[in-house]
Amino acid sequence: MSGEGVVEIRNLHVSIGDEAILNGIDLTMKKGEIHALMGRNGSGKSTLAKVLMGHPEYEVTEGSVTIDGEDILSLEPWERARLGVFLSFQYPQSVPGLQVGNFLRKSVAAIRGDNTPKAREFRKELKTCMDLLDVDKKFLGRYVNDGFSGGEKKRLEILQLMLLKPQLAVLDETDSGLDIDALRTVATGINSSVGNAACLIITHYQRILDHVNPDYVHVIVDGKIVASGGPELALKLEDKGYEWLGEERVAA
Amino acid sequence: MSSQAEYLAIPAPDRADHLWRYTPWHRIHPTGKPEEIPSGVSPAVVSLTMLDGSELPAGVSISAIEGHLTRKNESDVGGAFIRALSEESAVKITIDDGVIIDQPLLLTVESTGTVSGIQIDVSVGANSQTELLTLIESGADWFGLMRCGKIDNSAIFNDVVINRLGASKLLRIEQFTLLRDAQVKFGTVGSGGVQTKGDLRYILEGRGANLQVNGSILSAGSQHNDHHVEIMHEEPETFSRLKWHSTCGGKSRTIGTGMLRIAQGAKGSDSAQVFNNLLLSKDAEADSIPELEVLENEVVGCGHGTASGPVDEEQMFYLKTRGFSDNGARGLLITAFLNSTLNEMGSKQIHTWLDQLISGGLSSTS
Ligand SMILES: Nc1ncnc2c1ncn2[C@@H]1O[C@H](COP(=O)(O)OP(=O)(O)OP(=O)(O)O)[C@@H](O)[C@H]1O
Ligand SMILES: [Mg+2]
Repeated sequence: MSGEGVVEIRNLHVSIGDEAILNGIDLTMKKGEIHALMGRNGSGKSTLAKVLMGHPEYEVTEGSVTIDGEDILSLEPWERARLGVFLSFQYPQSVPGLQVGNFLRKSVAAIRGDNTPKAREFRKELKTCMDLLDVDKKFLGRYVNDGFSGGEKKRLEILQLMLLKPQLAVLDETDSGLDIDALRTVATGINSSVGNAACLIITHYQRILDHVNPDYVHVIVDGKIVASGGPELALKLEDKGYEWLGEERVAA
Repeated sequence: MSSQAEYLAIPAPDRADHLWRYTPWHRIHPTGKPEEIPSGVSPAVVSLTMLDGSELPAGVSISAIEGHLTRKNESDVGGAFIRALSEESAVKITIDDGVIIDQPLLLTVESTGTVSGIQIDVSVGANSQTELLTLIESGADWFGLMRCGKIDNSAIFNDVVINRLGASKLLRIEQFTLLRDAQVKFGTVGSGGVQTKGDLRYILEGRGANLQVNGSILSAGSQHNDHHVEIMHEEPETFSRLKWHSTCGGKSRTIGTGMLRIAQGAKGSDSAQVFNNLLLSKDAEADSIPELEVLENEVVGCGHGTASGPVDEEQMFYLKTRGFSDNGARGLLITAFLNSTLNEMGSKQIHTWLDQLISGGLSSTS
């Protein structure tokens, strides 16, 4: 991906049925930047993630999302994926009957196209990533997410992140359900692959931000970003919760 | 009594009979007239080799026999009919005690003429470890396949039957008996034929016998695929799993019926059956009916279930986010669905071989 890697979300409104879920999101992210998005349960974080990826259930009623000026909202999910948009799912789907190894190989070929490594190179690359994520070789013969533990699912998502090399990486609660060691391992994986991407990390906890240092932290309330700041904002949220945001908004 | 007279003495089965509910006997009968036994029946041409084409090892043989295979049940109209047709077309495959081979055996069965049939007796010796692939290929308009056999004590045996018939009808009648501690997998891969009626029965006759039955059925176009699988636990500590996956496209009709019987005294039996249908078009129809008959109180399990539904939209979305187009994602999910039973069928060699065989057939599923 050779572009500038500027992702612009402008006044994004999204509903499902009659219900508005996102109410005017504005966010600009550049290549190499890590943005953290925090907010209460149900505030619209996963909705934003899925809308960026093109989930068919959500209707964009207003606003735009562009990468280097190119509108992505009119693209199919797979076209976005090929353009370099990646989502690490909060709840990844299982696909019984589809082996991880086969899935990864095909998906890398679909997304990296002409830059797909040859079989041997691919195996080498895969091994490097799996070693880094501390994933056993047996993993490749298992069915995608079928019977995986929470931590294994998250590792598989990050393994895909590493192999697919996106220009926009959205990681939806990749840290939840991970033990301390797994968190560190997964964070290493994330750090190794987002250097050339704009990265949006959705999380409830400061602890992953100790390992993957955000440049910006944003807070979403009722489908709108109500506060943005540096890493200190995450610490403040950890300390004080979300209550004070309401007060401040009233005060402002 | 001649085989013909024997067949004619059996009354045509009632449609109320579970087995014949969806495919009445006259529909699968070659002339549609149950009182007729076609003449001029052609024998099937069979050849048994190792999968790589090499000759049979010591301890494995095939020879012509007189065609008198019978099943345990009386009034077995399908079996009697194939017997009446194929007295001259019968073989016995014998695997001697203790034979261990590291490569599957491949039996190709080619039907010829208009109406064709064969009886195959399979005898698997004690403590042997083998795999048998049976490939049924085109030729006749109507083909009757009857297989009966015995899997002796502690044998490990994987069996896969692949239906690759073209525009033919297939009547498949089968009965295998598993003796003590036999570990057996039976697989059915169906992608060919315009109409298939399978009546497959497995009897766990020895304590500790372990049975897995898997089906990967690809119904498309105007195919009619009806499989009835009966599993009988007759001895204690027997184990069985039935997993039947069908993809249903076009205007096809797919039927899976199961009958699980646990005899009184078969204490500690553990069994489960599940039928899953993946519906690929509005006009395709699928019916799955698992049935139980449990006469023993002390069983470990006798679960059964069935599920039918279209391709899962969330799975589709997940795959699309990984770069697969609509068709690509759909194809991958269909393959995965069939693979989840196919992969259970035997050794890795079998999967690889089946994978290659089947990937060609998938383009015609929508
Ligand atoms: N497919 C859907 N159908 C109906 N309502 C939905 C759907 N998806 C999201 N919502 C609603 O939109 C709101 C935002 O949900 P979303 O999943 O985006 O929250 P979130 O911020 O990711 O929460 P969490 O922290 O619990 O993951 C919730 O009220 C949710 O119930
Ligand atoms: Mg969420």
